[in-house]
This record gives sequence, structure tokens and C-alpha cells, in this order.
Amino acid sequence: MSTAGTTTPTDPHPQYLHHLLQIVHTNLQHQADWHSLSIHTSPSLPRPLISGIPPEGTKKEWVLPVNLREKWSLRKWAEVFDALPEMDEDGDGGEEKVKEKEGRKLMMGVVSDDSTVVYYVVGEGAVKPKQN
Amino acid sequence: MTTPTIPQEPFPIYLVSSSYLLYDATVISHVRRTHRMSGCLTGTLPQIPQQNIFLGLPLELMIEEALLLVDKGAGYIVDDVHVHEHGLRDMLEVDKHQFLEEREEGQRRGVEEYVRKVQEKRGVFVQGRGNDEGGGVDGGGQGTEGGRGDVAEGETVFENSSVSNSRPAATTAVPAPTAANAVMYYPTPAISHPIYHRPPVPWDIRTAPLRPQRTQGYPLYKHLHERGYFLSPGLRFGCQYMAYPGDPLRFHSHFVVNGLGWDEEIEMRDVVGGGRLGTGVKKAWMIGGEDGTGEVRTFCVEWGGF
Repeated sequence: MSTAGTTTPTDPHPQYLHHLLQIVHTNLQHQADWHSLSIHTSPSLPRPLISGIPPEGTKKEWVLPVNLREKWSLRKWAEVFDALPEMDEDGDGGEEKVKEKEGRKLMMGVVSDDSTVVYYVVGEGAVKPKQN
Repeated sequence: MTTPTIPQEPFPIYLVSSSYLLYDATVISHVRRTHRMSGCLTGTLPQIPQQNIFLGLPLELMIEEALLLVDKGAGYIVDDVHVHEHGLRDMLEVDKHQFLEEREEGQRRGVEEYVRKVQEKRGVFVQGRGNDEGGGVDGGGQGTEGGRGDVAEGETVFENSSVSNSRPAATTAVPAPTAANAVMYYPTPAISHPIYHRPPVPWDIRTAPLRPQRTQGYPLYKHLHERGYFLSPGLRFGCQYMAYPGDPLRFHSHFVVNGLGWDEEIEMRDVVGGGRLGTGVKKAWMIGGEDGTGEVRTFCVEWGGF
């Protein structure tokens, strides 16, 4: 599952994804007050990602910028999740290596045309809801 | 009810116009206990079908539940309409008569017992009234009039008996209708009895066995079912299934679930809407499906909180 279309394109990611990345990065930094933000555009990633630490948290979290106009699919989620641990090994400073499939999570930062950004937590597996 | 019995597997699952039904309470509790499927009770009152708080038999299974039971070898599908028609047509006259006679006999015994008790009671009552009237003779005609009226009224309750007794002897060739006939009734049983509704056992079905259609949500249904979740239809919550971590009578559901194809495209707005839907009811929105290798993968979406 890990290979399909995710590895080594010569030009890593198209321009519009970098644009999205910028909007979400700015939003996280100045509106949501995240710190230790860094941008990941390794060619091994199907999409560029942002990592950072929320103001009330201590753990690094992953953010995947997407556009509201995009269509999504299970395959795309799987490709992004499958690329996550590799990134930890690639020396991006991930201190906790998540090996099991179940329990990995990231945030989708959904950008709309009016530059509103909303955040949704996506976890792989059967992640019990926080409030239940 | 008697002590719980475990029905023999495979048990019949009745197919009526694309609904998969279970009629037998024993099978229903077995399916819930052993196969972790709760289904939906659908039986309501024929005269008040909008009464939908307390539903009874039959139990309707989701198509996924029916398919999984068939695949496990726990159940087999019976075309109910076909079987019912054949059952009626193939019933021998002798069997039919014997069944009707037995039923008649059982009913009659019950009713005769009932009538006997009523008459006993009436006797006591009439005797009491008679004694009273004997005391007040000066009432004259009025008193006797009333007395006679009472008797007449008492007899009309058991119309047939009084009619038959007063009828001329010409009718006595026909078995005399008794008091019981007036009170005889024939309830419609909730469960069909084998006399005319004997489902064919699987090894008697000559044609290829019926198999519920495999839906797109089936791989996800099966995946969650195998992990101990109870799933129920989710239309009322805006999704495909509700996933409970155990029996729905004991647990709140954790997930509102949608099954997708691996490459099925989904609008980002639906992802946002799904996340909101789940979070709004303190659950998570789960989507999942089968990848190219037959493995099922699931993802849960919740609102990020900011």
C-alpha cells in the first residue's frame, strides 16, 4: 500500500499546494497561536504537511492543508497516513515514532475561498471520540 | 415463555419483497446473543401503524446482517411468499382437516369451560334476585315483569342456546349449536405454524441458494462487526450505520459510519459536514472501505476544536 504514486516525483508538489500550505501556516501561527511550526515538502510525501505544537499542548501534531474545492477519497487518506512514519525516520525531528497503524492522527486544515480555515482531526482506525 | 432454547442452525431468514425478516423470538434472541446483531423490530398495530414506540415481531435484518449470517452458515434465505403459497397448495386435505379439528376442539374446550363458569355465576346471581323479590310480593305485576325481563336478558347473552332449545325438533339432525358457539373465536397467531408454513431445509432446496446482495458498505460492516461492534441502520442520524461498542441496550454509539469505495470521491464539504455531524452528537464520524488488497481501513473525523 505504501508505494502507489507517492514516491520521488522530480518536482515534489504543484504550486497551488504550496499556496495552501502558506495560508494554513499563517493561520496556525497568527490565529491559532501554534508554535514550533515547520513545513515538510519531502518528495516522499504525497502532499506537503505542516507540523507544530498547539498553544495548550506539548505534543507535535501534523496538519494537512487541503482546499474546500478538492475532492477527497479513502486512498488519499491512506497515502498520507502511510507516509507519516517514514517522515519521522527521515529526521524531521519526530520524537515519538508511531509504528502501529491504529492511533495515528493528523489534522486537516480545510481552506475555503474566503481564506477561512477550519480544522478537523482525522485518526486512522477506530478512534474513540473524545467526549464519549 | 419457557426456558431459553438455542435454535438449530442454519435457521431460515425470510425474504419478503427485499426485506429480510425473522419471525421467531427464539432465533431473534439467539442472533442478538451469539451473532451480535440487533436488527430492527418492525411489527406494529395493524389499526394504528403510526404507533412506533413499542414495536414487536417480526425483526427486520439489514441486508449486510442477512448476508453475513448466510456467509457464516448460520442462516439461509427462504423466499417467504413462494414457500407460503406452496405450503398452502401442497397441504393434504387430511392434514388440513385434522389441523382444523384439533384447533376447533381446543377452542371448544376452553370456551365450554368459560361458559360453565359464567352460568354458575349467573345461577348464583339469579337465585339472589329471586329471594329478594319473594320478600316484596306487594310489588305485584311490576315485580314479576321485572323478574321475567331479567331472565330473558340473561338468556340472550347465550343466544344460540335459547334459540336451539326452543326450536322445533326438525333441526336436531344438525349437531345442536351449544352456548359455546356464540363465544367461539379464532385469533390470528403471531407466528405461522408448520402445518402450512414449513420452510424447506437448506439441503432440500434444489436451486442455487438465495444470497443477499453485497452492498458497498458490506466490507466495512463486516470489519466492524468482527471487532465486536453492533451496527444498526443510521438513516435517523444522517449516516449509513451507527456503531455501538456492545449491545445497543447497554452502550451509546461511538461512531456514525459511512462505507465508501476505495477511490470513491467525496466532497471536502462532506468531510467537514461529517466531522460536524459526529461531533454534534458526541461521536466521531467514521468512513472506511476495502483497499485493493481486501484489507479494510477506517478513518475517524472529529472537529478540531478551534
